[in-house]
Amino acid sequence: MIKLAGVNKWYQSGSESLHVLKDIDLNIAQGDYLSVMGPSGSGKSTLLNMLGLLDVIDKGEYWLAQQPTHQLNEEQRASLRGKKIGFIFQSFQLINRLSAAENVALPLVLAEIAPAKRKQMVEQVLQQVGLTDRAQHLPAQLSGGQLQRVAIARAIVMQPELILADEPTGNLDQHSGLEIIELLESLNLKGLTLVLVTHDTQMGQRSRRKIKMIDGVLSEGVTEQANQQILQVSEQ
Amino acid sequence: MKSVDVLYFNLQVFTRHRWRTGMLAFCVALGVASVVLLTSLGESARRYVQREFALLGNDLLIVLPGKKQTSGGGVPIYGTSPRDLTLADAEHISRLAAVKSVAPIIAGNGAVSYKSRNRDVIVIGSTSGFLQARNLSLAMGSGLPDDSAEIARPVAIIGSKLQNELFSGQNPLGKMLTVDDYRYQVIGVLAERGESLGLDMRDMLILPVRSAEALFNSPALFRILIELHAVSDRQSVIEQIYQIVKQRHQNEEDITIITQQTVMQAFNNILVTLTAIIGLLAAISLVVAGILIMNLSLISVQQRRPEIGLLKALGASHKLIQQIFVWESLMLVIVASVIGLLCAQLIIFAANQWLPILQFVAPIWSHAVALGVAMLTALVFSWLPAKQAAIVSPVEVLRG
Repeated sequence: MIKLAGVNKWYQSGSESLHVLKDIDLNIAQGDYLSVMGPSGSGKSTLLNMLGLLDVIDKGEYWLAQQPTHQLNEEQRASLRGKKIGFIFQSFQLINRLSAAENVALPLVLAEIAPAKRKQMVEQVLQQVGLTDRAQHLPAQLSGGQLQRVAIARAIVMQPELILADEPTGNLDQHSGLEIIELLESLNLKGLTLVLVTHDTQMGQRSRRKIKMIDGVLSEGVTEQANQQILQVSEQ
Repeated sequence: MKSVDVLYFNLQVFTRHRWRTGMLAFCVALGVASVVLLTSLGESARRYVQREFALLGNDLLIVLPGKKQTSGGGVPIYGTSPRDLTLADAEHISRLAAVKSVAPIIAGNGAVSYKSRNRDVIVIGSTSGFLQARNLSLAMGSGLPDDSAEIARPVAIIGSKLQNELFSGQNPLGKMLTVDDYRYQVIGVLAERGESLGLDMRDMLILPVRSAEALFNSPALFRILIELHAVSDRQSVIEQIYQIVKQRHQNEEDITIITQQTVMQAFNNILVTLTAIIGLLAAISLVVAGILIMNLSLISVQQRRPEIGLLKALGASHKLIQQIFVWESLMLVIVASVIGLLCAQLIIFAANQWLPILQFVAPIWSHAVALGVAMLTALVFSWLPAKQAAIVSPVEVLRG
């Protein structure tokens, strides 16, 4: 479903150019569950941006659902994003002035889906994340765990094929964090592809495939040595 | 995103930022209302003048001393000439078949006193035809004597304000007034009718023209009003009058004849220009409101970068983001403009209730112009913030 081949990304930082992603090759099948771990600045967020079509790759190829996204323009990428990818962010990114249901409905509104159908779809996903009774609450009236559930409902309402979660438990206490991970895993069991970026090794260990990013280089599979390396760099 | 959703989305932004929205709407409404009110002022003045001239009737000619060769400028209100226009000239003109009546006018200032009270007023010397030519009527007493052009009778007609000030409500008829060294008996009082062609008729003293000649010690006429018979060919009569005066003035054509239309046209042009200019000045306030909108929108775009990034991450296109922000300004301006227009109407209505003498009107075009300028301003000044918003990278959502 996802194929990255020789992906490179450079960022301009002052006069020097930083090589953030170095020849990334990655294949992700439908229904896969990946965690991407690595220290800060290792390029894991950049990788997530690339997978989410939020940023453009400088060199290489990225195929998403048989589409060569490296050949698409910004508008086409936006439309593909809307249809195929659901995002979950560390800071939830809910719009404060909108109620939970309205936040969840936002992707449907952008996709010009009729109001009646919208309502039905929103109700369904809110039920799925267990927030039916909070539909009319504003974000300010919800707890952290509830906010992230609203965000998850928003991510899945368009029935995407890929969920990209960037530190989804980073702003949550351990208990709500675990609940969120379990919710995401239950979605994965229903066939959604899940890519999880995290600092938390415990969370990372739960996934089927474990990706490590160190200094822009991707490696897969767990070796004790690599784990140690990650821990050391994280502690620094 | 459908248009109705864009509107609803922006509506929620407005309700969230009530203070900001309210202030911006206030600025725009103020601008729109001032455009309408100021143009209304100009337009009302124009209609007022037009109405005044219409009262004079279509068959009025005005002869001024002095020759103006240029055209296109203003009317020579105060003409100058070495040869005065005199009562004899007026007498000759009155012999023309097409002329119905002639009212020669001498004008000047005089200090009018009755007992210990003194007023400086405009003194007009004329004949019995004057009241009719200027469309004035008497509240009491009688008009100027028919032999005003021949005999300097010591009689006077006074305006209503002058009557109040000198006689404080007493019956002035038969009382003696003093103007400089001359004494006149009051024989009539003008009915109240406000201003006439810029002269305050309420504050005026009217004498027989011979008496005024003596008072000012000069035979020079200020002008001659000529009323024609309705059927006469105006252009040929004007030619004839020029001929008569030319003969009498040593073959020198040193007068100017204007018709009621030319005067009206001149005033009309002046007032239309004036209206346009004050409208334009008021429109500047709308541009200022536009700049305000632009600045606040730029700030708002900065504050909403994560939100814009989110919308983009959720599939919003470049174009849609731009539309959302342009519509935000347009919605605000349209609603504010409607409020402004309503306020202007309300103020005009109230003004008409309080000041029934002047009829205030707001022309439709001024509403259209105010609305148009406001919307154009919104479009122009929201373009930059919208553009700024549209180029926000979707990656921004991760930084929030």
